[in-house]
Amino acid sequence: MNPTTEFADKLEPLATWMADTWLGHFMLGTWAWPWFEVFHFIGMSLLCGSIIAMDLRLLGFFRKEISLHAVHSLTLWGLLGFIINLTTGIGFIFKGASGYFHNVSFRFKMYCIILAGINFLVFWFIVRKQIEPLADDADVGFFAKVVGFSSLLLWFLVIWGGRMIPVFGDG
Amino acid sequence: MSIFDSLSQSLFSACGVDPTPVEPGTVLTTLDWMEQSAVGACVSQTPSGFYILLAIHSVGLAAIVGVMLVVGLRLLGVARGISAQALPKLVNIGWWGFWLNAASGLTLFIGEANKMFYNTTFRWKLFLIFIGMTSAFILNKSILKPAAAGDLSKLDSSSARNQAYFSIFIWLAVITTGRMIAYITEAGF
Repeated sequence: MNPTTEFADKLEPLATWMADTWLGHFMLGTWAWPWFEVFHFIGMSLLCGSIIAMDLRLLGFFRKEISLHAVHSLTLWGLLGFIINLTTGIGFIFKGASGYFHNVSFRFKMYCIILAGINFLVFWFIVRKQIEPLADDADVGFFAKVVGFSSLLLWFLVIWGGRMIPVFGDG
Repeated sequence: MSIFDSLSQSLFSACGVDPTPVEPGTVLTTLDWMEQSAVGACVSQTPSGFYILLAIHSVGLAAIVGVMLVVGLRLLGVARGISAQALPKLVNIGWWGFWLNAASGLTLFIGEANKMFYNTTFRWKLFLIFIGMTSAFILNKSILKPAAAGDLSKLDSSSARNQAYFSIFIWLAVITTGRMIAYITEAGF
């Protein structure tokens, strides 16, 4: 037996409960789902725009043009995009939890988000402290570059995994 | 057999899709011809082909809208550490996203030519993209490039702020109409 399917089967009571909550019923409305999709894509663009500027700077592009200080102030906007997507994403899951829990692509996307979250914590608690004393146009060093590259790669995979959800079943 | 025909045949067999039989002498509309071409059939009849294109389309969207949002926010006073010199370069990343989406979007259109051509929401989206790209071009030429060349007062002008609000509004509207294509399917303009 497939262990991940077994895990999803165990979550079935949770899925049933979610579909029967206020949010689960709300998501069945004609326009709830489409508008949640619109905001999910707006959040994605905000998150990705901030990430492109921040991570390319960490990787060494735009060293003269984007100060390390700007990288910090963009973090807030990236987080805002993420919060929009977390909120709307929870809405989707409440409507079709069972389908999502069994969906390979959804699970792949969730693993990538968890890894991207850990990567962000590494940036926030370790890399940020390392680069704080540096000059605005400084090279950030190998470790910070690895963190920047992982962030770009993981968020790319999150978009990919999200878009592939319908190929592997409901969603 | 022409090169076009043999390319078509290899694409059909690579996707595992059979060509739609057409009786000799039938004249197809342009939209039908697109849908029945090898590209169109592979897009519409293989789920992975369709969704891989949509995934590419989403990545391009994230690049162009994301970058234009960051540029807009910078003009409204956020992340002032992004220098004037960086802004035209960021817009260049947005252009890459645009071309990626022009290519993936055109390929998706070939697969669903009839449905899309007559879809009102799709027409609104194309119109808004045209406005968005034109406004990005004007913003780049009238504000960002002069500022990058040293005229920093441009960045704090009221024209820069107005253009930033307009640009953010248009790109959010592009996303809204783009997503709504799947849900508002009525035809006509």
